[in-house]
Amino acid sequence: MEAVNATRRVLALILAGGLFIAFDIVGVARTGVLGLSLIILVLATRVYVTLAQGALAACRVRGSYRGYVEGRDVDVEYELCNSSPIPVAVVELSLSYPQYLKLSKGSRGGLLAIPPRGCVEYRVSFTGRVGLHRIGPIRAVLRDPLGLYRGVELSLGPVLEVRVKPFWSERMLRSIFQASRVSGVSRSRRAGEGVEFYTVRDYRPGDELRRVYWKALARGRLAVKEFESESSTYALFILALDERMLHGPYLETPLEHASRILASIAEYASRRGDYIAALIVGPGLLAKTEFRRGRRGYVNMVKLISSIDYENHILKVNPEVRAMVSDTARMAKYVKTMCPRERVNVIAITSTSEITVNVIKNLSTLRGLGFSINALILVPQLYGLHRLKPFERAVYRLKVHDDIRKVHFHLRELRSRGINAIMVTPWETPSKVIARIYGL
Amino acid sequence: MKVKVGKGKEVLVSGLLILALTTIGVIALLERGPPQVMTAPGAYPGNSGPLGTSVLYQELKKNYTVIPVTSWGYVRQALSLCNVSAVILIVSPETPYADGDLESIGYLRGSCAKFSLIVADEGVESNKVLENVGSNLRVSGVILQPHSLVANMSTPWGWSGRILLDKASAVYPTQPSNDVEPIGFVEVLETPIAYYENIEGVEVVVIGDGSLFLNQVLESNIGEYSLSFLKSTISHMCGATGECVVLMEASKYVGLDPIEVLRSGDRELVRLLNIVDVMLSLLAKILHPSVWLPPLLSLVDYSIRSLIELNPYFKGFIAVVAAIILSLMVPRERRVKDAPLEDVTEVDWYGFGEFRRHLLSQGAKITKQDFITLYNMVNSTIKNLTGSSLEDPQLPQVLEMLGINLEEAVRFKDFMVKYYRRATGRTIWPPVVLWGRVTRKAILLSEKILEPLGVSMTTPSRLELIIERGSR
Repeated sequence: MEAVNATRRVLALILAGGLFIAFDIVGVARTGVLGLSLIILVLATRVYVTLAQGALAACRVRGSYRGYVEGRDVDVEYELCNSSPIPVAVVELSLSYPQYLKLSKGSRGGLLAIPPRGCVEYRVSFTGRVGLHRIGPIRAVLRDPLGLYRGVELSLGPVLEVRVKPFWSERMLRSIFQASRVSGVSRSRRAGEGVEFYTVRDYRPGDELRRVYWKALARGRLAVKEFESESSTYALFILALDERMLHGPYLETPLEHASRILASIAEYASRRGDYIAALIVGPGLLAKTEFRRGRRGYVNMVKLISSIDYENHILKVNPEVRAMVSDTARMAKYVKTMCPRERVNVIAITSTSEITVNVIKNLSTLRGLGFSINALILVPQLYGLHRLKPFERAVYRLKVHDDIRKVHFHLRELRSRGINAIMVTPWETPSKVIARIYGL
Repeated sequence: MKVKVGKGKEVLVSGLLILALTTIGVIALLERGPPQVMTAPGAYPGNSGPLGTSVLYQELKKNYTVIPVTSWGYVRQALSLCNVSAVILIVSPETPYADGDLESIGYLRGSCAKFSLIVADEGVESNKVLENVGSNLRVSGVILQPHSLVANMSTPWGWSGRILLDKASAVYPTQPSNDVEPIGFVEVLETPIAYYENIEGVEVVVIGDGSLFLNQVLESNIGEYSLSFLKSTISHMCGATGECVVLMEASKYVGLDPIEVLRSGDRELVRLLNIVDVMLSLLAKILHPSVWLPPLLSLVDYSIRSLIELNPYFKGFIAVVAAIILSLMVPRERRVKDAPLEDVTEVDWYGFGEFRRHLLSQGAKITKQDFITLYNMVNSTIKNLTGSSLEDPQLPQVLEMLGINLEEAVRFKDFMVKYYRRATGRTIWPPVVLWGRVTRKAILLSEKILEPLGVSMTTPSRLELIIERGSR
């Protein structure tokens, strides 16, 4: 294929030029110079586009990105440098990125001119969405200003692998601490990091000022309040993915909701000093992290979540993974090998799909080892409900009710196997979820 | 990028592109006109003829950095940070100095570490430069008679000797000054022919004969005296230490086109020409498209017109040839549709997406089944919250206790039960039912009852959770 192709305008222009020359030759009109000029214009344009196409292909393109937290801007920047003495104009460009990402700033395509021995920058921002996203390359097509020639499409610049981690806020975390205190699930009867008041003792150098017990100070005694350390446990977070996890408005899908819940609870667990591990099961993914204590465990888990590739891990099926996940014994063994000989608190999140619910169902065999298994079933049908008008919401609820009733069946079945299963609606915060888990 | 030109044959640049580039190049050359290979027959450092100063240039180059100055403005830029000693050497300039040249020389005088000037001229063109640097000395411009006089030279830096002059004119100070010192006199006439002047550190030597440094003199057996004098002068001016740059005037000489000189037939001028310059000039002219292309095109044009006049059918023949050329040229171009690049289409996925889109655009068709679903949902919710079902006769009273108007509660209960019976076939009354309207009304009535209980179908609420709790 030629590097440069003519558009249909070229044929029209050459024929017009030929016609003008023919008129002159035959003696109808003195239009020979005009005809020749048109043909020279076509040739000159072709020469320019060929040279500029070469310059464009040789352009040095660098790509970079900033930002990696869900809901915040991820700024992507490409720098195109033309080291040749030929100006490159006009280039039509279009940025390749997954269709489930949304631009928040900038344009996904446009026209640009790269000056000779100069550089131009192309910047866009996406609203960060949890997972791994491949952005780039830039697809570029060169045209001349008259639209006579069109270069072949070029792919410029690197593909950027953007990893976005789930968001949790300090406020969310405080509510989780509150919820866990109310439920009394984590009391250790030891002084340390926590929210439950434990005792008052004399001040020791190094104690934080905010812990000073002012009432005692008023009576002339310098004392500090101590809080009850919450007990350390082993927490295994399981995220069972399927296509339904992507249903819903941008940043409000079950996947994002699940990631936020998991990240918040994991952050809480890491501050308590729990041992944390994560397992992600999807149509094309079976990945885990080892049990690590505190921050390390949390970071590993967040890394794992931010490496979820929608295209390859959720939308495409890997037969090997599917076979593994469907095999009850193998799956239970897989989980068992990653767990210590301790009581493990499992928190599994899934959507309403049969396959992913079965994954959790099959884990019930681990209860014999003393595992406590909690399952959160998200209802993808309800995500995006708030985007409808009030009356439409009621109608929509009627129409999806039968589908949601299938969840009741799953829940009953899970509970019959000794799994603490609850249905989670999109408007439930992580703290509410915690309260509901332990309120069961 | 490779281009296929035949079976298994690939080239980097297509023939059509080469042809186009060549045509454009030829047209550009034509537009610029023929090149001019100029030769300066005077005391120009690039002139290797008898009246040039190329020998002087080569000799000085052996000991110094010599710059032939073709533009004083350029030298000013190049030596803008002039931390060296600069000696300007002017030999018989032929054209006047412009203000810009003098300004540049003045700039060099002020900026260089040391500035000196040597003028060897029998004419008056260099007087402007002398005036510009603040010298009192001038060249009279009147040629002394007879020619071929001998000058006795004696300089303050110790060089003395006799020099054979050719065409010389007297040098004189404009006013008496202690800074001025004669360093050469013509024998017999006792006319000062050379002066040395020191103006606040700027040293100036003026000698009223430029021919002393021409090739024809320096190549002769008497040339060594002139060269020795000049070398000792420059050596004195440069001093013992530091770098010294000799700026040799090369911009004030008349340029001649060798071909034009040959055409003029002026024997004196022809004698001054360099054969290499002549050959180069001739070659460049012959090869240039401006020489051969217009006549060639005229010839083609003339031939075609003659043929057309000879036979009118030849017009048709030319038109056919043109058409064949075009038809050969056009298919070579692979034509594509000039479509814009397809951009990424951002999407949101929804479960029940199709239904959702339909609901948003046209509304949804509500059926009898939807009423049954509504009844079941509301019944389950109320049963979970109050303990009474919709068919329970005590329900209105229970709802009243929870703060709901009794009349509204009765109306709601009756409406729901009546149509549920109709929908499930337990009664045929009313015979005609518009289920869409009935369901809509049922939703509105249900909302009035459910809202005080803290549940709603029209807001994101715990409705589904309550129903689920009831299903356990």
